[in-house]
Amino acid sequence: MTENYDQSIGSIGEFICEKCGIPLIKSQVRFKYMNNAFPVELLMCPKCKFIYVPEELAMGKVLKVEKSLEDK
Amino acid sequence: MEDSKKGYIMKQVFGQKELHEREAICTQQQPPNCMTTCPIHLDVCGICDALKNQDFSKGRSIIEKSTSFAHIIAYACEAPCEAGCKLNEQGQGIQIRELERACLRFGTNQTRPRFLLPKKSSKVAILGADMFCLSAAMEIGKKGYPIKLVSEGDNLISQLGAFHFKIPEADLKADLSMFHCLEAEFCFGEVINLEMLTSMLEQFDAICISQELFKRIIPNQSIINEETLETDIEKLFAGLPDSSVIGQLSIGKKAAISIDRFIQKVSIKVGREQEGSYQTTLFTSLEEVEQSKRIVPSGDAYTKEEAILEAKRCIHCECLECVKGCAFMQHYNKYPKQAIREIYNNLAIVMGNHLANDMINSCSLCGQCKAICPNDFDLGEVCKLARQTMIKTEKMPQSTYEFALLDMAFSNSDKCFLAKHQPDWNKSAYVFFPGCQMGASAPETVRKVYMDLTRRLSGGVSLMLGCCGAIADWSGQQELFEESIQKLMLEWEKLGKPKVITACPSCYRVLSEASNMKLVGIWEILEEIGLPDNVRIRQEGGEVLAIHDACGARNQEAIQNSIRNLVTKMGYETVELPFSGDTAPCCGFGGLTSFTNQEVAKRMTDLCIGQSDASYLTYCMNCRDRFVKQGKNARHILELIYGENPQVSPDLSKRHYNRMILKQTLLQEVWGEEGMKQTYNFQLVIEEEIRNQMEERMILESDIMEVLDFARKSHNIIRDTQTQLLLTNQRIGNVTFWIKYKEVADNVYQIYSAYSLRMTVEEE
Repeated sequence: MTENYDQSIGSIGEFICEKCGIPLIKSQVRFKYMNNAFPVELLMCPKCKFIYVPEELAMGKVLKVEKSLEDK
Repeated sequence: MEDSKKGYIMKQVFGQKELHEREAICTQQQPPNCMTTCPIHLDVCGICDALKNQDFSKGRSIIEKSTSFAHIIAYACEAPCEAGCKLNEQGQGIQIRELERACLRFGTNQTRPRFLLPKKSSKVAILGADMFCLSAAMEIGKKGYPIKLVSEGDNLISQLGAFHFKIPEADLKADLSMFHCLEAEFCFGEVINLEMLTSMLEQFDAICISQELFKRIIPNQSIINEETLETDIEKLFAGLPDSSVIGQLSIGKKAAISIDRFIQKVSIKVGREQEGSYQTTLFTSLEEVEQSKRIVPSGDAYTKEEAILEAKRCIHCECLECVKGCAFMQHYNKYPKQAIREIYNNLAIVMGNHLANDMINSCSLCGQCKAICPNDFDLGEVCKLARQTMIKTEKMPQSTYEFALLDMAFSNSDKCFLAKHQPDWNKSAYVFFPGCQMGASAPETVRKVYMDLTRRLSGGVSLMLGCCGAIADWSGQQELFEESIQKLMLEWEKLGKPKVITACPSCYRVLSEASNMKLVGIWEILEEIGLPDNVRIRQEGGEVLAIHDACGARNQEAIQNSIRNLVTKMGYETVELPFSGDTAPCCGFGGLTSFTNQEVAKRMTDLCIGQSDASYLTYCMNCRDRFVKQGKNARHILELIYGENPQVSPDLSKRHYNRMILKQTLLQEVWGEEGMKQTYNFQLVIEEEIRNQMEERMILESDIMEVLDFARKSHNIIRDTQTQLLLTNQRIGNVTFWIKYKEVADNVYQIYSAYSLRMTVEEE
């Protein structure tokens, strides 16, 4: 989970928070599941803290990690 | 320590003793009968397999691994294996001895004995030089004991018996030359008597004596233990009377095992049940085996080509009966004995990955394996017990059954559940319980059947919409299952305990096993009161229907017959599928396979629909749904009777919606009441490709509505400046749903993608 996701998370300026009207910026965030936490860099609105989880990440690596944690 | 041990025991679905008992029921790993009738258990199928590949040397090495007297076996063995060959039951068995000869003639000797002998200091003497003694001497020698063989004859051959004349001299000598590899001393021309025996008993750690010499020297003490060859005299082991060469060879091996154990001071008796010749428990069906005739050698013996042809007749006996009809076992490439061991080990894991979780949760629990197995092995029962154990020990993956259980909760929620007397009645003789999946897939059929029943049955027919609890039962949730049965019972009691008319064989099974409701199948009612007046009876020569029996109706001959009677009454011709009645496979819905493993569920459906080109008639709505979904022309018997033929399988969203609308529509039309309605003041546009994606990801239209409704209020929306698509999310229960969409008109949203994740995400 600590791999670099620059390729898939999108770049600054590409995504705008509709509520705050400002671009999302790369931020350190944490995925949590079944008492495990994984630090990841994702795009987040600096004001309202809305975090964007891209589809490729959710249906790819995140799904795999969820499954392997569930099978522990 | 005490606690962790307790936890470990609790995780087991059953103990090791029960595991072994259950494993023993599956005979697939048992050797074939040719091998077990051979007293030295020669791997006959292995030889045939080698010859099928034209590998005579491999065939030869298989024989030489079993015995050092390969030529003696090939020329003089009485070949009890040939009588044991399964093909005899159907015609002519394999000419095994001829194949052995071919192996020795055409195969090269690759494995000249290089016995890596563990040198042992204990010495063993062999008195006599018959086949038993030579076999015992060879086997004891191979175990590393220095041996001394004392014979009254002049050489190794003189005492062998007349059979040795059958064996070419060079070949016989080749076999006996094996003794050169051992630490062996030979004394010929000796007079063997009691005095010599007494003296040798003092010098040697064990003595093996031929049956003939034993009886001659000690006529009054000739008691021999047939299992171990022990005699009344300590250290002395004797042969048994057996006139066959292979029998003597086998008894010689037995003597070697006993003597080795005796010298090593370990139990002589334990674990010797399967020495010598015995009948295998392996079941092998000859049903699909084509009859073949023995290949007759053109000369004195087989040519290479003839031997290969004869070997190709071997069917390599195995059982795998249950696997033939089960897509689940085929997918995992396992037969029950392997599967149960993996399941047992999976549950026992304390640390590490539970690699068999997927397998445990992919079985349809349909009972087909038990119905097919000659010994009633029920892998479904084991998988269900494992699921229950995983729930109890909190080792069940959270995501596995969540969708199905939420679906059940939805069916039994106020939105869908209904229990009402017939209008203008305050009591009921019957209650129609169509089951949750019929309401989901064929709401119009439910309505038509109910209306018909209210017209033609007397005493009042109430209606109950909901789930029987099978979903909780299949997912291993015992408590939830009991709870749902209790709730259903309560509603049934409120209706005055009417007779329950089920329209789903699985509901029928579940309720008959878990409740004390009085039950009757809709099929039985329709047989009794007759088909509805407007039913279309086909003329002779009408459409042919293949009947796919429901797994819920397994071992329910009356249900299976009722269906056939109804279809025949309607003028249809019926055909029976290869796997039908009690052996019918599951469509892929049972055990919740379609929720837990879509790939396996699809294979299950394919196996069902691949059995015949005819249109299918089902009596479980799930079977109909899955068959239609995979392109098969299929109808449910109630659709046939009540004139519905949709030939479409609603997706998960539609099934959800149908159940809710069914309640609303019936409340309005039948009882004149308004139902609960959830309305949104916006609309969705979802193209087929996206609907398929949602189906695969098990995301419902109602989930999307909820997420967008929330987004409209919260404004938690991101705009992708490149595609101009909007993105929003909401967590519902344990899942965060993300929607990619665009507002294409006022309050109309087109969906471009929907995905979900169970992980939560927060700022570091």
